[in-house]
Order: sequence, then structure tokens, then C-alpha cells
Amino acid sequence: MRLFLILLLLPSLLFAELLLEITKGSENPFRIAIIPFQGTSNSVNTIVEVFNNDLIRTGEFYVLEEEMLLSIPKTVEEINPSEWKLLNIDFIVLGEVLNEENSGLKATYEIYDVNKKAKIRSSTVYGIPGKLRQLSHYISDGVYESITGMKGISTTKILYVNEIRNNSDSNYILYIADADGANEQVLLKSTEPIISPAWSPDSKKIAYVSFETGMAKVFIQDIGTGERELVLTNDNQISSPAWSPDGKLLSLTLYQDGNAEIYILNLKNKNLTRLTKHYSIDTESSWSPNGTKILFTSGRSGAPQLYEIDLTKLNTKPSRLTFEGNYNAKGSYLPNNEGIIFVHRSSNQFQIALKYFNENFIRPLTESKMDESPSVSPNGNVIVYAITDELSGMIAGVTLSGATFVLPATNGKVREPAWSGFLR
Amino acid sequence: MQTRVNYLQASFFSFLIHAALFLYLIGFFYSDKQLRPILSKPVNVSIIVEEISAKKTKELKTLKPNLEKVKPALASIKTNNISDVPKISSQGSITNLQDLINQESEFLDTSLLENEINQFSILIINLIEAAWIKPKNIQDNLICDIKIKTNSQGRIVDINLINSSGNIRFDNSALQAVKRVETFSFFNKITKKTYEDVFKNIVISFNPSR
Amino acid sequence: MTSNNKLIFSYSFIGLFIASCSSVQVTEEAVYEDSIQSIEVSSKRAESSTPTESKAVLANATVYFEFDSFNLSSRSIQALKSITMLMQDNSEIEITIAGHADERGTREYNLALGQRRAESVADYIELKGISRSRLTVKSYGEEMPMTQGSNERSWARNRRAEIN
Repeated sequence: MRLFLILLLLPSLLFAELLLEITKGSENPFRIAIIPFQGTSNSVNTIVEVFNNDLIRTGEFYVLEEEMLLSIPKTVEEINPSEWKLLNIDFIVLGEVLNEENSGLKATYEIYDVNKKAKIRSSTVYGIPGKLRQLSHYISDGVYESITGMKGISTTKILYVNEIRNNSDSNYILYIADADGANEQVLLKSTEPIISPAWSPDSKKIAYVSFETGMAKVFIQDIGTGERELVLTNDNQISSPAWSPDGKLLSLTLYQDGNAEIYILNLKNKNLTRLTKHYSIDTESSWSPNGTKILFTSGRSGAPQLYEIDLTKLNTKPSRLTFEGNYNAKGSYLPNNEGIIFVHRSSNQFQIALKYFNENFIRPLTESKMDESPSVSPNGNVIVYAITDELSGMIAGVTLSGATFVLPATNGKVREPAWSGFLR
Repeated sequence: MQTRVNYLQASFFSFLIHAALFLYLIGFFYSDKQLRPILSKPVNVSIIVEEISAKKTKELKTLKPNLEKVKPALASIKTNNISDVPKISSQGSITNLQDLINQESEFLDTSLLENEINQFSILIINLIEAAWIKPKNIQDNLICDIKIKTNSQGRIVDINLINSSGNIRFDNSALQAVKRVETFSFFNKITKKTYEDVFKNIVISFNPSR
Repeated sequence: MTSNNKLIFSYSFIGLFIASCSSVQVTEEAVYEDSIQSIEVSSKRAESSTPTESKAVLANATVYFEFDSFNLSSRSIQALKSITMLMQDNSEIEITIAGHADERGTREYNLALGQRRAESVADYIELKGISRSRLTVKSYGEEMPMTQGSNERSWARNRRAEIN
């Protein structure tokens, strides 16, 4: 083990600081054991299963299989740390579920750090009777946050479109579901295509393109009330909606100029500001996390590539961000503005890729042939996207920590997932 | 009657011993009067530097004027060899001998101190490295600096990210590693002065590209 | 016994102190979930107002394109000639040009590509003296493929502009 040590010891009058350098760490996931919760078996089984899967899908945890548990401590005091050290376990979660008629649904859990030999968290979550999965997601997020220090996404939601064909007809359904694909509910059902679903920043409204009037138009729908409105009425198509981070503006693609151009609509006074003026296709606008820049796809170099416009310098030309490959599109920003994720084509395969702003190369994240519409989780760690092939479409996910998962398959062709913001 | 008295005495002594243990643990007995003599000169320590990155060079540059003060003093001790030491005259001048002994013992103490600091620093680094789960898919050459303040029992009482790496997952993993360690239980082995001078404020630099 | 009690007391004193060495995070929260409303819509397609006779001529009017392109080939232009003549002769005829794209690539880009293809057709027809107001130009992107299939043959058949 090499040791790099810099000692600066100054005369005691001056402020002295020891500087130590850390050069190694582990790349393994956190190893956690979930002790089967106490409580009525039905509730407990669902909760532990959902909780288990939530943690595994983050790609940052290894959850010990139940068969490998050496003991079933009922309280933190019953834990024998040396026993767990044998299994190389870092954390243990114990809990209890109460599902009473009179007192409602409640779960308590504790997290024990094996290396520290101490309890690090004690939490209570009050659930909604009948909503066991929601309760489990709150528990997963709590455990995730305590151990990783990052905000969890088990309690977030996703939107996606499903197309179900009956002979020559199709039904298009816009769904909202939990981040794990469960609890699917219909937001919009139509006989005409629905594309480009997008969340408002407060996750209470959605925008999407619907062909119900005969051509592509953008609607905003309130999730809770179902109220819909057309964002703009004109004789031409409108598509590709994206909300500004403050929720006041909506960027759109308008076709009134003879080709696709990006505009910004002020949702309050309905003023339109034009952003692009080029004879090529300019579409798929997406806002930077602080709302000062817009990322979009443009065909101006001959093939679709990603460009960025600085909204504070509207007179300057958009700057090009992608130079590798001959198709880079549907870009969006990582929530911490460190880079972008997008669809990238190299040698005839469409994949999801990541590019950090301070690097000049692309990092492919997925490996199938027809991957599209990536959407990143609000904590920036997980990306969902659609895998399509001849027969079906599915939603899959990849984490920046290197794990992959597929959401349970539904009937039909599922596509265009969009990840909500934090809901907790 | 007598046996009872014996029991009382025994339990009293036992209590004294336990109280003493307890008070030792909380540092009641530490005082400025340490085992080593008070040094009259600034402590001179050899600086071990293999490679300094740009950031560190900047830091060093601001601290350079102070280093300059230290170096000559260091040089003066290091270049002292037997021939430079004032010889003991035939009269057996005691003051000279005393100087010689003082200088030698100072020199020894310095190395002892150095070793001690090295030892404990290694322990700190090991603990943090064992707790650090590095994120994957991050850029190369990321560095983040975290400043911590400890109390004399080794508990980290303040954590501050003073230099971000630019990647939030990296910064976060580093902060989490420090939080996870939380306490350096071996601080009870560090002398109070060393703790105050060296281990009270520590900057931890995460630099996996090294 | 007094000595034992004293021992226990002093041990627990130390024990308490050691236990307080690490911090425990204590939280309490309640699950919150918003209600969700479901909406169903049916399409409201505009009726075509072209006389039945001309509909027979137009029914087969489809123009094809190369990948990622919206240029009209000479073959396409030939196909469009009959339509322009029909429209020149019958000033009440209005048409809808719908552009399409194959499934490769992103949906919005394909929607724009389909639009651009339809525009190419519309531009040509306009050049022939037909007023733009008689043309409705729109795109379905990759949403309404002529053929299902992930191969070049299917894709080629889907890269089209349909005139009705």
C-alpha cells in the first residue's frame, strides 16, 4: 500500500492543517441484509419483496438472500456484529409492520451498521391502508438515503405510452406507473397516436402530443383532475413539448415556417418566442436544470446532432455538442448539469449514451440494437429507456453504477418513458 | 463485623479504579504538562512529497513563506554533525554537553513525533478507504477535498466539502465515506498537544486517479 | 449487594458513554399519494370534401423517399404530375399530404422528417400554380407505418408521403 502523506507543520502561531490523501475505495455495492419484518405475513412479504427489488434496481446494493441469513435478530440489541462480519455484510435492516383496522398501516424500521457496531437510523412510516407498495417504497428510499447519502427514487413515477393493436386498429394509452412499473393507471386513452409525454416540474401536470384532432397537437393535462387544454391553436402541427424548470414556459416544435423550428411559449400570456431559424429540422428541445440553456436536435450539419442554445445569449449561434456518430438525438440534461444523455447511433445500432461536459467522448450505456427515448431519474443515477424490436416494446433501465433491469412486460408495445421529479 | 468492613474497602477501591478508568477515558488527566520537554524552537519535520498536483502547489505557494522560515532551522539541525557540535573542553564544560544532549533529544523527539503522526494518519486513511464506495462511470482525474474537525475523542464534529470534483456522485460518495467512519476511536492514544496541533483540523483529499 | 450495585453503576456509566459515540437518525413520515384521473378521447377526423370521382385517382398517390431524406426523386415527380393536373382542372379539390418515416430514430425527429417530406410534395404542387390554401400538410412520423417489420424492405415502404 502506497502512502502519500503531506505534512505541513508550521510554527504554532500559524493555522496548521493536516492533509491526507485517499487514493483507494471499493467499487463493490453496499452489502445489506434485510431481516424479514415482523408483522402479519401478507403485508410483510409484499413489503420485503418490493423493498428488496427497489434496492437491487438501484445497482448500488447487494441484498443477502434470505436463505443465507445466519440469524433472525428481533431487535438491534440481538445483533451479533462478528457473525455478520463473517458474511461481509455492511448493514442490517430490521423492521415491523402494523396493519390494524383501527390504527391503520404503519411500519417502523431500523438500520444497523455492522462496521460501526451501532444503529444508525430509526424510522416510522405511516402508510395508506391498502397501499403496501407505497409504504415499501418509502422504506426503500429511507434506507437508500441513509446509506448512500443520495435521495432515493423508489417513490417516483414514470409515464409511458402503450400501443395495443387489434387487427388493423390500434389503441394508444398513456400510462402513469410507479418507478418499478407496478400500479399502472390510465391517464389518456385514444384511438390516435400519443407521443412525447413530458412531466411538469412539480409532477402534477403532463404535456403530450396527440393526433386526435387529425394532426399532431400539444395538450396539457392535470393528473389529478383530468382537465386538458390545447397549449396553442393554429393550423399547423405542434409537437415536442418540454417544461422550463420553473414551470412557466413550454418549449415546443412548431411547423408553421415550413420546417420544424423551436419556439418558447409563455404559458401565462401565450407569447411565442422563436429560438431557431434554420431550414433544417430543429426539434426535441430540453431545458438545462437551471433553465438558462436549451438542448435540441438539429439536422443542420447533414444528420441529426445535438446542439445547445444559451437563452441569455439568444443572438449567438447554437453550439454543437456531439461529434461522434451520425445520429445523436433526444438529448436531456443530467439533473446536476454535469452532462447529457441521448440516443446515439454507431454502426447501425441505436444506443443510449452519456456525455460529460468536461469530456470530449461519448460513453455508451446500453447494448441492444434499437434503444430509444432515454429519461433520467431525478437523482441522476438511473436512466429508463425503451427497447423495441419487431414484436414488442419494453421499458428497460440502466444505472450509472452499471446495473440493468427490465420493467415487467405488459401487453402491447410500450415506449417513451418519462421520469417524474421527486414526489416525497 | 470485620468482613463487612473489608467488603466496604474492597468495593470502595473498586469504585475508585472504575472512576479513574472513566475519567481517563474522558481525558480528565490530560494536561499541557506532557512527557516530552517543551520545545523552544518551532518543530521541524521533514516534508515527504512525491508529486504535487497543481492545486497543492498553489496551497504550498501560499504557505511557502512560512516553510522558508522552517527550512533554515531544519537545515541547521540536519547539517549538524559531530564535528560542528561544540566540543566538550577539557574542563568538561557542562553547558556545552547539556546543549548537545538537548539538541540530540530534540532531534529524537522530532522523529518520534513524525512517526506517531504518520502512524495515526495511516490509520485514518485506512478507515476512510475501507468505508469509501467509489461511484462508477465517472470522469478521470476527479479530486474532491473535505475538511473535517474532530474532537479529542476522535469524533468528527464538522464536515465541509471545500473543493468539489464537479461530479455530484463522486463528492457525495466521499462525504458519505467520512460520515460513515464518524469516529476515530484511537484518538485516546494521541497526546493532547499532537491532537491540537495536528489532528484537530484535517483536510481529506479524495484522489483515486493517483 | 452493594459492591455489585456499585460495579453495575460504574459499568453502565461507561457503557452509556460509549453508546453515545455514534449518531442515530430518527425520522417519521407519512405516505402521500395524489389522485389520478383517467381520460378517454376518440378521434375527430375531418371529412374529405373531394368528389368521389377524383378520389379514385388520388387513392394510390404515394411518394417514396430515401432514408433521412425529403428530396423528391424524378419518379416521385412523375407520380405527382397527375395530381397537379387534376387540381389545376378542378379548383375545388383540396388535398391532405401526410408525411411518414420509418421506425428508425427518434419519434419527434421522424415526425419532423415526415413533415419535411410532405412539405416537399406541397412545394412542388405549389410551384405548379396550385394555391397553398388548398393543401393541408401534416406528418405522422413513424406512428402509422404502412408495413410492420424491421427490415429495409418494410422501412422503404414506410418512408412516404400519402395524398388524399
